[in-house]
Amino acid sequence: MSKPQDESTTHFGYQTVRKDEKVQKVAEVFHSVAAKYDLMNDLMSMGIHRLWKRFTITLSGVRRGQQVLDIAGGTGDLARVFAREVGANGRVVLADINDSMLKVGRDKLIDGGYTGVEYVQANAECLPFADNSFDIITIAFGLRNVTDKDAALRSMYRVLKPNGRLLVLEFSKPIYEPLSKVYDAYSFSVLPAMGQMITQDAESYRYLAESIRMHPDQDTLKGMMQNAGFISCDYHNLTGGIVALHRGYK
Amino acid sequence: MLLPTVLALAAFEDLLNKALDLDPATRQQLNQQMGRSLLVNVQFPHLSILVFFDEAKVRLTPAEDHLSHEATATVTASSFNLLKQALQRAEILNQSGLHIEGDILFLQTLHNIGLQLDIDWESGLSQLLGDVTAQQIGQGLRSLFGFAKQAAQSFLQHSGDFLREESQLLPIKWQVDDFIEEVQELRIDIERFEARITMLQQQFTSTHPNPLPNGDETAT
Repeated sequence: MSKPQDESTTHFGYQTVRKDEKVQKVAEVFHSVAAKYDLMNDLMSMGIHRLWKRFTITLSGVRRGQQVLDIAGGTGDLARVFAREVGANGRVVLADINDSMLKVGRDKLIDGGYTGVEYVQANAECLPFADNSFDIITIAFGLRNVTDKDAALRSMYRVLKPNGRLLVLEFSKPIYEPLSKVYDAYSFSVLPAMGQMITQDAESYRYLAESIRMHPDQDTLKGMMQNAGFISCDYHNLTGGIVALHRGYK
Repeated sequence: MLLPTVLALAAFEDLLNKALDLDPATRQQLNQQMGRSLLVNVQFPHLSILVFFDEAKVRLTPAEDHLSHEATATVTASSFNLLKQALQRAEILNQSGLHIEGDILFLQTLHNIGLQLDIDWESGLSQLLGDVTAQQIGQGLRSLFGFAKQAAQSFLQHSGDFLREESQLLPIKWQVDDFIEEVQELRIDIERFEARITMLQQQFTSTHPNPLPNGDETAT
């Protein structure tokens, strides 16, 4: 992974861009894909993203009455399950920086009868919540799009209650070399073609493949979580490390 | 813990809770245990599960989650088969091969609840199909389950006997238990042996800080 050129620049896929430019570009990607986000997730992962999310729910150890924050919650896959699990005395907040994604998620949850979820448009780097507010924080396939990941992790640590846990579900580095080659071929050939066919937007899915390659690997992300203050950090490789679930406690 | 194991645990949790929803008396008894948890450890094959009793839900999570929660009681069994047999007996305590820690009364209460479990298939089905149809299917299911259970037990017993006694393809239970015990003893012996080697190495290093003079290192 190459380093950004200086403090004012960062990665946008394989390009080096100004930090404020990345926010704008990521926003454009998600405005473009929001309407067909769920369909694309199912097609791209062949439905396996549902299993990865179920794994995340089980390892969250969620209980009735707990306060849960789902950052970059997108179309609400995790928030929906958490809303059911925490019950009437619990609280679930679905946060996303992108209003198009938030609108799709909100409509989907309300249509599904989940009326108790709160919706907040928020930047993960400066979460608009009081210190020690949540028992569980999740961020699924969102951290790699955040401009300043360290700031985001620090912000999550701040709003997490003592003994609370953070779960980061994110694309990672395949641990088997042959799988890595097949995965590369799939990501850079099939994904953009599929994106073009379904959303008429190959560029957004090319960014997806590039941003995955630029995202910190398993051990680097674990170190970043530890630097932010999280303890007992661990990670589980899923589907040969294509995705990893990182977990840390406050 | 691996993805398939956690997913299997999640699927079993869903199934268990759906079954408990069909037995309100048991659900009510379990609700009285709210906030308590049971840690189940099986040594062979290695498996640790935390059973947490939440409001109207029994939650199963990999036991690494006990980091943030101290179990009310812990049951450790040397094998899954042994645990299964212990759960089927009226008295769970004082059984050989089963190690119990924590709140014994809580454990005995859970065990008694488990023994009385009575799933009301008709109530569950009536929510989907209406009362009359549900009752007919429920009776069918009950007799089917009774028959299936009997048939399965009979089949397992006969096939098991055949495989063990006649064909000798499967080992007899006491042979398996002996084997597990021997494996555990061997593991403990290896750990002791390893510790002894480490101790000897440390002793040797402290008395011979520079074992081979320069120039002799390639002598052999």
